[in-house]
Amino acid sequence: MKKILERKVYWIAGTIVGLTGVAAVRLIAPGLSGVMNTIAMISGYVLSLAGIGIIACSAKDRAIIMKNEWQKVPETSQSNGKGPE
Amino acid sequence: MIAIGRIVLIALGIAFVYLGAKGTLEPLIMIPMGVGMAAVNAGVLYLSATTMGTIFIDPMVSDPVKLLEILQIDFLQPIYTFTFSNGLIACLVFMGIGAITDVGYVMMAPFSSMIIAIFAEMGTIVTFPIAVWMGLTYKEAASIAVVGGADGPMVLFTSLILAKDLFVPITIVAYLYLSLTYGAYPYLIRLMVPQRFRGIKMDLKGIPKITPGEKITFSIITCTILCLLFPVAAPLFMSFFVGVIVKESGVKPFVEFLEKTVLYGSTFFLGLLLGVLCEANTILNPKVLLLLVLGSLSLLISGIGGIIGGYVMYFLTKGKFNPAVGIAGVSCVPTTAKVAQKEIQKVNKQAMILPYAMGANVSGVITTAIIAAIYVTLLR
Repeated sequence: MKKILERKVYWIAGTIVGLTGVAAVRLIAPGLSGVMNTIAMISGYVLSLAGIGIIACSAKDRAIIMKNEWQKVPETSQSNGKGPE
Repeated sequence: MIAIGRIVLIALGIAFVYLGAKGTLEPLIMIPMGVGMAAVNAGVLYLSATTMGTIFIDPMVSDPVKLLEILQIDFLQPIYTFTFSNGLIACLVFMGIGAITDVGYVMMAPFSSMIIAIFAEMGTIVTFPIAVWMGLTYKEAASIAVVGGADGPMVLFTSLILAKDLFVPITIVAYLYLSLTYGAYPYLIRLMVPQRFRGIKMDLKGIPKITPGEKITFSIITCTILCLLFPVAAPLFMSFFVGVIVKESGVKPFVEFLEKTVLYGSTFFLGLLLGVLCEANTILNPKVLLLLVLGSLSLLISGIGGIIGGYVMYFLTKGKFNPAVGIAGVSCVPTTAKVAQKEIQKVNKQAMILPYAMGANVSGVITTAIIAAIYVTLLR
């Protein structure tokens, strides 16, 4: 369970950050006025796009984990073409 | 004057067909566009110069009764009314582009792809105040500025919403310049990136393999967030990502339908309709010259911005990133990525940068859609 969570952390975090941004733009900002409205809007857009960026990073992170695991496996099994179990 | 304009446009149409067939300009758009342009101007050469509309199409009719009448007379009117006025043609092209796009390239190098794509939007941002300063309205300025994103359907979508009276010249300018990027951007790369930088080999061993499941999940989450943020551009986002998801889901009949029938069918009718809309009465507008200047300026600034983005990545990675990849941030999929690869291989035959260039290219599509959505949201 912990391992699954570790591997999905980017997906979950990215989605939460992205949706928080959407909430800031669509739910919080309309209730505010003046400078606060602008701040909420801009931070909402930035958060949403950052969320997409975090999700995009998930695959790169997985590759790094896999590469590290691969390096831990003894050389003989690598030469046999077997990857990490 | 109108007659002279029509004769010039006939000659221009014939030139487009010739240059398209020769491969100097993009044949997929230029051949049907050239034929349409030559035929419509020849067909109406001896008709009245004061009435709008042709025997092919009447783009400016808005009265419902007259529209219903015209639909039964002008043979291309149904295609125009049911696919252009509502932006359907742009969405169809986007579905096809989605079906030939691999978002895995963005996911394998998200940081560099996004940085370059943001820099490559310089033209779409900087051209806006310049266009306003040159006398265009805010809506017209935004429409021509989007040309810098180098995304034909996006320009069509934005100008149809913001500047309907100028959407024909703006879209023609966009497609004309897009077909010229293949010829002009190599010179920009050579000018801005010295040979020793162009020859930099990039690391391809560390590239992760992205599974179709990851691509689908990324696409659906991104699509939902972008639609929530920019509702006006939701049709475009939906069209692009449905293409991506269909491709990754591997439903072969749908993939073939989108990447062949839909993409090529809509591109053909887009070219033909744009050509037919190039009738002297519609296109000869004093603002056209301005649009020609601003369109090229926008694309030039975007290209420069993209290469600056490439240099930023070069410095951030301490010299491991090839700055010429930056040109691929201009989202003319996959032309600019191919241009970058071609230019780099001329200097170093072993240098392979295409995966990184495609990442920047696909990110460019998304950032251009975001910029277009911001313009439409703020100015509509």
